Amino acid sequence: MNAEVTNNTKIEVKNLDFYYGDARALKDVSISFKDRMVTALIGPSGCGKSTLLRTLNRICDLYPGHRATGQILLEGENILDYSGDLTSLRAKVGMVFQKPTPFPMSIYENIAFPLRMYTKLLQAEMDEEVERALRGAALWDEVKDKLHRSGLGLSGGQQQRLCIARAIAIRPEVLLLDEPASALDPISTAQVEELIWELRRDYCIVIVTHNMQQAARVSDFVGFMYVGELVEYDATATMFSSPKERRTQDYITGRFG
Amino acid sequence: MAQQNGLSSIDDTASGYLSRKPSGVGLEKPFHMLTAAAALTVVGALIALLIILAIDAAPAIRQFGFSFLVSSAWNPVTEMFGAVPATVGTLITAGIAMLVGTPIAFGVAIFINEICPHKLRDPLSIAVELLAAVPSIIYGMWGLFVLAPFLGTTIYPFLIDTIGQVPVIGALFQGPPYGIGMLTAGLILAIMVLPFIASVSIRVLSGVPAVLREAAYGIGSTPWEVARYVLLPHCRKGLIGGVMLGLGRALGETMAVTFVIGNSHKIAASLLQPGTTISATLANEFTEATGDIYLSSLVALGLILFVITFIVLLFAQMMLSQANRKEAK
Repeated sequence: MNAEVTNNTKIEVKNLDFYYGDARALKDVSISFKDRMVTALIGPSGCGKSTLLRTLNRICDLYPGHRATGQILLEGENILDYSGDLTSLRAKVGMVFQKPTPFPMSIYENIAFPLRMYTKLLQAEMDEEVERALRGAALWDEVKDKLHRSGLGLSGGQQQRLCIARAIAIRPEVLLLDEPASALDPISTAQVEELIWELRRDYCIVIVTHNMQQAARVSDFVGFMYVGELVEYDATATMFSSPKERRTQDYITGRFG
Repeated sequence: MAQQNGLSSIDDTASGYLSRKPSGVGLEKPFHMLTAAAALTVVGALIALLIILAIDAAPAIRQFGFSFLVSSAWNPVTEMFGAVPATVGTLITAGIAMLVGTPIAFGVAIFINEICPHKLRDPLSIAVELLAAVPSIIYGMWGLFVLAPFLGTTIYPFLIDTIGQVPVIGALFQGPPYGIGMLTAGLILAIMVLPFIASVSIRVLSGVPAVLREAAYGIGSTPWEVARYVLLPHCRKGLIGGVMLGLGRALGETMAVTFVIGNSHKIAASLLQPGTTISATLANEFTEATGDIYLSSLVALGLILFVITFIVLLFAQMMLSQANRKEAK
């Protein structure tokens, strides 16, 4: 397993502790996320998987009273040491949430808005980039005739793919997905899962999910978390067929959680 | 199979609940009538108010007709009255108040919600609420004894010497710097509407779902970009509500304005000169109004204020439904 960890590791988390005020949400977590692979984080509610995800782009800074110790190395650089420029970190590490979060603007603007923050594009180039992002999120064909309508008018599944398009528009290196399909119907879920599998070729993807089948379908590696600890981490096939830990086995067979 | 069992057991409990007799049976009708009566009281009071205003304003309307709306005469001796000076003063002072107060109120709300350290949030919010609780007479006295002399000796002479010399817009800033006048009244009103708009905005902004804020920061936006392009548009409806609440207060505010506006029925082009508003005119002149036409003219002014606020509300409703349509599209 060690040989695999060093091989094309994108993010390496070392001995990470995280506190909300006095509550310790992550306990000495060490895990690595590989480039061009999907790593799923599973575990019961409150196990810290969403918190771990939110440390990877420092969005956890928005919470009052937070404190993190340890290291999160993004290509060797400790992002917990970043002091000023979090915007460039967040440009590298995109995030999609459980509930679709389209911005209150047109479909086109939802994509163009983040692009404008990082680049100066001519109108034609911008059109091209918007199309590329929407195609990348498998949404282009559905919205190409109504680009200037509000993003809030799309269906839930379309909104979620719009958010993925928005995240990949600025060409990040890492995509964080926080239960991206849990608010969607089965058809939209299938579309989003297919999309994740496509995106895997270009990005390091970390996905938090409650859905074991989903983790089995879309991921290459799985980390099982329980009460702030990373209990077990392994290749997806191994994890679901022969987990080493009793707690993992109990969880994936549905005995608790 | 296991799922099916689960479902059937839920069905059992559901029918169990339904077969039990609800304890509130027989109370629906009185409750229905009670709430209906409460709602009708509001509508009834509104209609009664409007009727009384119309009856009392009738002599003036009969005498002056449409010219009441376009005449700028206000002469108790010759009994010639027109609504223009007071109406224009009301609109201008309220306009200044909104122009100055709204951006500051939004700034306060964004700072408290998005930027300031978490520990300072509550004390600052409470300070804003307290500002809203200060009685308007206090603002009036402060305006007359502190703000007006200060503006009259420092800011206004400066404005007259600089912008006052510019062609066209210079006309707004000319004449002797009395201190009291339309601009001072507008500024006092700005201070008074600020806490209203700010406290509504704070509440609206704090209701933004956390994930939307995280998503906006998550693509690398700065606090300014998050506030300007995501939070404010998202909260549009609530914010418009807050602004309209402030505008309502600015249009109707009486005491503070009466203190600092100068109460002159002459219309001056310059904002630095004394003027009057509808509510200031009513407060000042009701007790000394001799003669039916004078009194009736004052009531007619009140009717106009009523109509203005009604139009403002209507306008707000239209903006809201337009915002709704835009979203649904």
